[in-house]
This record gives sequence, C-alpha cells and structure tokens, in this order.
Amino acid sequence: MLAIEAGSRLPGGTYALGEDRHAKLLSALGTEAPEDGSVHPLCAWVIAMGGCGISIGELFEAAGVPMEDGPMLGACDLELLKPMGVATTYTVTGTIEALVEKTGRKFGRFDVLIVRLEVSDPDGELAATCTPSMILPRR
Amino acid sequence: MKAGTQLGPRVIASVSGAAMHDMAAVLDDPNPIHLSGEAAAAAGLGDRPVNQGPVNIGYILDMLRAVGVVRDIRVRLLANVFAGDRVVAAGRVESVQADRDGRFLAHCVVWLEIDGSGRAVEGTAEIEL
Repeated sequence: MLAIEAGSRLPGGTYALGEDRHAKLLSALGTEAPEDGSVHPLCAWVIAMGGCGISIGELFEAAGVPMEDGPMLGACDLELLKPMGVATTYTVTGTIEALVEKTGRKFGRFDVLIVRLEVSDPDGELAATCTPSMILPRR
Repeated sequence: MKAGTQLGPRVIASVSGAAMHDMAAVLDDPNPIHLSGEAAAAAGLGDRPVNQGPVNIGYILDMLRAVGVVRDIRVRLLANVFAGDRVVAAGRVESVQADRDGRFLAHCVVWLEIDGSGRAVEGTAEIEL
C-alpha cells in the first residue's frame, strides 16, 4: 500500500478523457465545449487524478480515512500550460508533497494532504499540473 | 480589460443533485456525501448532497474562459455547496501585464458565492487575454 508521507511517489499512469466523460462534465457545469476543440479547463483535474495510478477512494483508504468521515478538497492549484485534447492519452506522475497535522474549530483534529500531479502530453511536454490539498478528518 | 474590471457573473440557478451523480463517475469519486442527503447527514454536513469541490472550481473556470484562456487558478474551498443552492461565480481584474512573449496576462481575484450564505471558494487566477 502507498505510504502516505511527504516524498512518496504515486504509481502514476496514463489517461485519456474521452468524449463521454467530457460530455458529462460539460453537462454538469451547464456549459459548452471550447470552440477550438480543446477540452474544458476543469478536465485537467480529471486527467491528473484519473491518471495518477490511485483512485481518490484508494488514496483516502491509504491515509486511513473512511469515506464516511467526509474527507474533502480544501484547496487547489491548477496550472494549464497547453490546450488539452479529448482523445489524447496523457502521462501522469505524482508525489505527496506534505501531510500536515492540524486542529481547527470546524473540523477538530484533521490532516492536510497535499499532492502534486504533473500531466505530460505524448511529446513529453508538460501540459498541466494539479496540486490539491485534501482535508482528512481524524475521528 | 484593466485593473478593476469586474468578471462574470456566471450564475448557477440551482446546483443539480443529478449532475453530482454524473460527476461522481467522471471523477471516480465514490464519496457518498455527493450521492445522498442521508450520507451527508451521517457525516455531519447537513441533509442535502454536497457538490464535488472540483465542480465548484469548474464554475469559476467556466466564468473565466468567457474572458480569456485560463493559465492558472489557485483557490481555497471555504464552505460546502449543496444540491439546490444558487451560486454565482465572479471575479475582478487586479492587474494586466505583458509577458516576455508579448502576451497580455490578467491577474484576477475570483470567488464562488452561495446565495445568502457567503463564499464557498475564493482565490486568484491568471488568464491570457
């Protein structure tokens, strides 16, 4: 199982968004596809998380937090370096940047898990980075 | 486009619970708080399904792409958005600068506001004009 500690590398992998997922995302946002044929910018998140080699559920499980405890996204930095394609297969690598223990009035004791994901196109050029900070309640 | 220019608003009249089911599949996120009010209640988060955080960011991205090409967005998620909420994505240009390649980049503050209960998301973004 993945060690949830700073410096751990995620398994990584590849990911192609596909028309069906793009259509569902556009519908959920109530919007249209970009006119230039690229995908909606939120797809960088979907591709990064989808290709990192571990699902959100598996990541939380590895961190010892059941889904029922309500882990959630606390912050995110999304860099969009190139237009991304709906059928393009991207390579994703990821690293755990930090796991920080915190205590707050709203959540009580919790950890903040920061992961950095890098998405590269088939030419090996960086297309996007995604750095989510996830709040993990500790009950 | 100059400092002080208001961005948006992009209004979502009622956040859809059905869309949360679709996005759970797209995001491969099985967290039950997005799928039922009962699960949200069990997690102490009220009695309506909780919208996925990335989707809340997506409303802001969608507002920004009406202005230019989004290059970067950095946001904090401050509150949950629930099924049925009316939310408004908006922002304001803080500065416009040309980069070394002659591209004009607008640096903006951005937010997503829930009708009647404050901001759910806030942060900064950079868009190429």
